[in-house]
Amino acid sequence: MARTPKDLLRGARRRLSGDAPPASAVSGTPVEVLAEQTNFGPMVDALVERARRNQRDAGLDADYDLVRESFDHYHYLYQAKELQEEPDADPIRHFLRQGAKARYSPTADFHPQKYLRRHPQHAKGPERSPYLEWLRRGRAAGEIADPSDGVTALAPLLGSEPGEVVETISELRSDLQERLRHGRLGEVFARAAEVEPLIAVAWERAVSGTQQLPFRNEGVARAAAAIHACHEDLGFRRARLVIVTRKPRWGGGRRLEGHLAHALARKIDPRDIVVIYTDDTGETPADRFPDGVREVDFLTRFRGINEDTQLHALVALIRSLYADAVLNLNSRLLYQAMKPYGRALAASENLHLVFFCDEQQALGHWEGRGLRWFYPACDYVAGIITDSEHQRRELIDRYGVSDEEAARIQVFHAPADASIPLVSAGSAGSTTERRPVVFWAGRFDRQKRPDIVVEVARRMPDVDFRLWGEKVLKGDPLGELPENVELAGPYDRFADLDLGEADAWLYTAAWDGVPSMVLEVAMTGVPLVASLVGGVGEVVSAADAWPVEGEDPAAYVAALRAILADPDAARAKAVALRERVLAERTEQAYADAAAALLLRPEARA
Amino acid sequence: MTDLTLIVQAHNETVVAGPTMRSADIAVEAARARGYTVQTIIALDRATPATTAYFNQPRYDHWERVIVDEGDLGATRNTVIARADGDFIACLDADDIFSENWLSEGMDVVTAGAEGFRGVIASPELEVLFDRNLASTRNLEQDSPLFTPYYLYLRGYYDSLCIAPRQAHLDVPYSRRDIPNGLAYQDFQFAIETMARGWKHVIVKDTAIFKRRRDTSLVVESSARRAIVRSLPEMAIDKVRDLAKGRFDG
Repeated sequence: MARTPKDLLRGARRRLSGDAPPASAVSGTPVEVLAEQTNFGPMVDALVERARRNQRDAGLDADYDLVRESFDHYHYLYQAKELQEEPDADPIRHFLRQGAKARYSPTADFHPQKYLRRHPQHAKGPERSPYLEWLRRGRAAGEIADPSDGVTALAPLLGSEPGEVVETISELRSDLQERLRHGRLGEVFARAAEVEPLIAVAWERAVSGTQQLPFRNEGVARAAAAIHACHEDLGFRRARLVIVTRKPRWGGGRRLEGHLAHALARKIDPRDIVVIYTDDTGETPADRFPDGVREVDFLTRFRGINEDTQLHALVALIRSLYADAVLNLNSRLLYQAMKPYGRALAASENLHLVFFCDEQQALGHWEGRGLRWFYPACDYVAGIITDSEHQRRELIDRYGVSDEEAARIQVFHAPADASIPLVSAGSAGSTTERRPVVFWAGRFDRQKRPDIVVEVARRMPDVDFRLWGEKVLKGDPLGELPENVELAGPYDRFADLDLGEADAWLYTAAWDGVPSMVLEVAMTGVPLVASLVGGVGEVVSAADAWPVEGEDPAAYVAALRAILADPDAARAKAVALRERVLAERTEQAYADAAAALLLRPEARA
Repeated sequence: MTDLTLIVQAHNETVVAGPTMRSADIAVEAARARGYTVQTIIALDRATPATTAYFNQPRYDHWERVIVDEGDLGATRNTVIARADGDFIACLDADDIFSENWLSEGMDVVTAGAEGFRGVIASPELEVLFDRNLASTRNLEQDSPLFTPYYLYLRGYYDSLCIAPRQAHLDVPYSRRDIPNGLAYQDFQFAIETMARGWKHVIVKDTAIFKRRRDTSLVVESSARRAIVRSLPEMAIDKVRDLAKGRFDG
């Protein structure tokens, strides 16, 4: 019968093992040791022959005999330096004695540590050695013991099963090892070692650890496969705009990324917009993006891969999209990647950083992307985007930015949502027939200052206060509530609120950019009392709302009393606010500004 | 006409280049014995006085010496290749070692060409690191069932010590390293760009290069600063899968 390639392979491996097969299973049969001449030189050959002569007779120990069938003395002795000077050493016995703690591999196709990492259950199995487990059962079951890294990850890209990939690697390895020992490759290696004796030290690696590209690093292989998976998710199509951000669900509403996508969808195919989530997973709120926008869950695709490799891969993925512009919208991972690769990324990408307002910490100091990243990156990124004139001015003043450079700091004025209806006047009835109601919404945290609302409520016992939101800090941030405060819980969408019941809206944040909520309330015709912080003053004015400076509850009380004293006049002011904001903040203007900044006249080749 | 030009590049090497030059002479002799004509050039790029003195020894008088003022490996290659006579170009860093058969076997492979491709660029089968670090890697031909272009997003397959047609170098000159901006690995870039333009990357059986890894080598420097290869249109999401398929324009 003709010999198959696998028969030939078995023959090559048998030659690498260097021993004649056990003559029989008869107890105590001596094993014939064949003297071998290799390119490694006579000293290595003598050492191996000596070790082989120390083998046990066949038939005494079934485990020993099974290991012997594939045991590669050259491979083992190049690793086990402590055995090289021991005349009585028997490498097979040495290997078996190590059991699951074996550091050296018995043959180049089996890596003890990697096998146990992939199949940890075999560390305490019934066999004396995990190698025996693999020989007797694991190999047939498709368990991978090969030293190559990333086989399982890369196999799908290669259109193969992992077992087939291992088989191919193993064939290449056997052939290479045979040529190193007895062929031309080993001859030229030995000749090079004559030219530079330090090369001889590298025999050790060539014999015991030649790696096959591209299976050299598990993390790199997995990351390459993950980039491919992201490409699949994206339909192997380029982008015009890439938004790299933390997570899909980050507050309700459209937020900046949603506004931007909706606006640019007027100019380009929504499929040309790609959003990459790097720090968390979740479900994107409905209507955040127009249909067609492509989203990639980078975090899930790269889970378990070390962060250094993720950073490199994120940069590679972004660059592969060949977008007109890339926005870093609070992505922690991309900011991490910018530490080593920021300049390299900006060399090819039109990279913009999006800064929102800084956050005050529990001890009073401030933290924010703008504080951390403006000065290190502003020299090399294409631009900085803020959501408020206030923050832009702060950056310019703090860092002494020249007029010329200031042009690279742009404000994206969030568009007003004209689809939010004007609440019908007097829909809740006259306040002479019922108690007035003031609405407030937000997180119960240090920034939103619900404590001010509670104090205002105490001072206005004739008015009811309805608070939407939930606490995000431990403990009880509100303390004991007066009877006229109702906690209504969180809401999903602004449109779910029955604003017809509201006589006024109260906004008390201690700091902010241009809050979406203020823009939303401004559309309703509900009179708005708002703390004049950050970019809030870019939405409200004393002519059409009740801005409050400082945090004195008395000022809020005075504003609310003014509204309740003349509801019709207050209503007229609130309607005027809607008209002005709609005129100032159109989606068209937003789209024009975003397109001018972010889209190139024509896509790159 | 000359079949092959071998360029040894030196900047601050002295006696470390002794084994390098000996291995180069042996490999050149083997190539000539197989019938190839070989031009040998030492390129001294902003060489230190000690390096210049070392390579000016009479023992290297059978090599042409070219003085270059580039301060960059890739730019030096471009300059020297432009004036080289050989149809094919091989490079050798002044601290690395060729296997004795690299040039002869490599020339057999590149001159044979490959159907459907513009030409062949050959790399040794085995890349062995020695000295400070030890490692041994078997290279991969681009038509291997184990080849995936996705690996190239993160790592390179081929070292710069290849044998390539001079035309491939003229089509795809090396870019400069830009370490302050974190852009390096011109050999990596050269491999991608040539592959995309229809030059086939193969490996030559039974050949090896031995790369000396000292603490101060350029690769170590690039790695320490975490440089990456430039952004290349060949690696765009809609192009990368075809990278190694031998499709090229004209």
